[in-house]
Amino acid sequence: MFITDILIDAFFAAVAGIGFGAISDPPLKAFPYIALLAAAGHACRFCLMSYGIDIATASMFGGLIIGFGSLWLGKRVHCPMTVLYIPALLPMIPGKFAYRIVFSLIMFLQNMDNPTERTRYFEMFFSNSIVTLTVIFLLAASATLPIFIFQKRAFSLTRHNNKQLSA
Amino acid sequence: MRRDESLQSIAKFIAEYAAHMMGCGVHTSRVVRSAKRIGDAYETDVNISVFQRNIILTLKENNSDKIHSEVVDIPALPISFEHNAELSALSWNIYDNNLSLADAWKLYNKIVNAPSIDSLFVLILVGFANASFCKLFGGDWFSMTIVFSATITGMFLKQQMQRKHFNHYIIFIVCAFIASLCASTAYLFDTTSEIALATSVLYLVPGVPLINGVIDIVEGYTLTGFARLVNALMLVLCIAIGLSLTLVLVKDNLIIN
Amino acid sequence: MKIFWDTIADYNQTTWVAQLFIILIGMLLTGMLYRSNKTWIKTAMKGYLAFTYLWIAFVYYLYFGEARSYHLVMTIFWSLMALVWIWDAAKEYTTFERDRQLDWLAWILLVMPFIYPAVSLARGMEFPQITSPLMPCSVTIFTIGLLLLFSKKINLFIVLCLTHWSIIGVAKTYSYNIPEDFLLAVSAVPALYIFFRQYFRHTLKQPSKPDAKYIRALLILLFTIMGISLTGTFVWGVVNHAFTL
Repeated sequence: MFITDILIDAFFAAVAGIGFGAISDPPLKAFPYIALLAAAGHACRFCLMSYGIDIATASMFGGLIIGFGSLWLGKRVHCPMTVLYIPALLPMIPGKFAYRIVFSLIMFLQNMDNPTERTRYFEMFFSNSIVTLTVIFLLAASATLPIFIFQKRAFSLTRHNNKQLSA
Repeated sequence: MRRDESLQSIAKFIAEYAAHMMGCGVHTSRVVRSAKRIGDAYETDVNISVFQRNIILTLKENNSDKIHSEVVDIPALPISFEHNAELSALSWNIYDNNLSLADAWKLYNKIVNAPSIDSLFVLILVGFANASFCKLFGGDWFSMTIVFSATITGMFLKQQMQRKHFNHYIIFIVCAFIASLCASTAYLFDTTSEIALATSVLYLVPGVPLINGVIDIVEGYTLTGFARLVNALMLVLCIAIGLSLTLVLVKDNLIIN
Repeated sequence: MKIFWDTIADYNQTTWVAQLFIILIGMLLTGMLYRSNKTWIKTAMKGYLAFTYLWIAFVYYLYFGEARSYHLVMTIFWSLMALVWIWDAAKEYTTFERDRQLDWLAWILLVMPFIYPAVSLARGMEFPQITSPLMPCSVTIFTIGLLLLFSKKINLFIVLCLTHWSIIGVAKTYSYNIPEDFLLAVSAVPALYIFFRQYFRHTLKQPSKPDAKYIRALLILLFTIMGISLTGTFVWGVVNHAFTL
């Protein structure tokens, strides 16, 4: 039931996107698009990861989908891209790895006089930090990419009449 | 065309506009672009330098030597995408429709004073969001319930403390501690407790400044970008402190999968 | 599970005199609060609640619950709630004003702590090994009942903490075999709905974003989900004979 798994994943990503978006007070008309983008991005990452692609690369592709999607949908609701893609990216934050950074730091400090345990937590701390930082950076960078490629369109998303395309 | 507007009043408007946009979490290049666009509409040349807490801007009239400078403080506002979108649209509106300064002020005040999203609505949505997050990480239904309740408790506390204007860092430490303490009760049961504990504090993650910081840096506004990143990382650090308070309390029960 | 009931027996055996005393004070204060509106009675009630919470934290969990895993976190949890009551008393936050919504439910909740031991006895258990009116679940239900009786302005944070505790309570009905706690969850849901609605009325600004009807719809959705999942858990418990009545 691979399809059902994807749909479930997309659904929960959409709910998470809406909720985390709500904290930052987005325009009400943007909610459906935030949900759509969050679902698409996370489902994409889920698919790629179940085909054995690592979390960083998969997140990058998810971020790209969200970035280009927000460029495309932003024109419809006259929202800047960031309004749509920041809430949509939040469900992809690697929270479990981030938690393990804190966890291993605490355990490292608790096990200072036990060399084997200490080394284990030390290693855990660094591997989790690397994964978390890489994923977050790739997410932000890949979703921002469309702004640089389609500068003109990205800068005039909130413009209502589009007769002359200057400035 | 717009000779009736004095340079000073235009500068006042643009300064207020730019400071509000920076305060409510818009990335720097958009603020600069929008401000220049408004200046363009009033036939002035706007030059802006943006710092973390102040904006310095200089306006020069296109056909004369008149120059006016203005320095404003950036207010610490709650992040608002609605303001971001509406104020960006306002700059285009001014540019395209030749609005007078009085009309621009009227529209600006209308946008800024519109009600922000209802706190109870946010509270419940955030609860659902964090519970779904738990599911995305592979938590079971019971963990989701625990995370939901823990998030609602923590988020409610955050809203109340923000209303009473507590220090940001204190709010984040206390809320992360309370939420993770509530979630740590999952260890009483045979469930995906590690995931419950890990997700319970994620509603606090300052996603907007983090991503804005990266955007600013990539776009060349390294100074504001770094300032934003440092601010966001301080908040993340506070979350970590709150979470580790709980972890130290329950460390004997922790299991690593 | 045996440890759980052993600690309860130990607790009841040792402290029943003190428990009786505390319960009597509680009844007295509730009666006084119901009849008059003086500030010192309100403060006394808050102080009493803080004391009871601390009792639960230190006597019930820390001292007698030592044999159980995880008692320390429970101690901190209940001490924090006691701290909130003390803060509340200092700030005079909860006003203890009558609202007269769902009064009947409030009275049921207030009597509930005494139904607990009755249910235990009816299930064929004997004195020290029964639930008593001074255990976390009964104190929770007493507080919720009291707040429901005076629901004009309540401290929602306390309610949310207590709700969190009740969720754990419901889950424990299976692992420790205390179906009594199911009463707690069932009665907490409507009370919680009232509290949320009250809070909603207090904080709502006109005009609101989004429209008030959407917020109300979200509230109803939340409580429907709660009701369904609660019924679901109960049916599941009965079908799987998780309760050995």
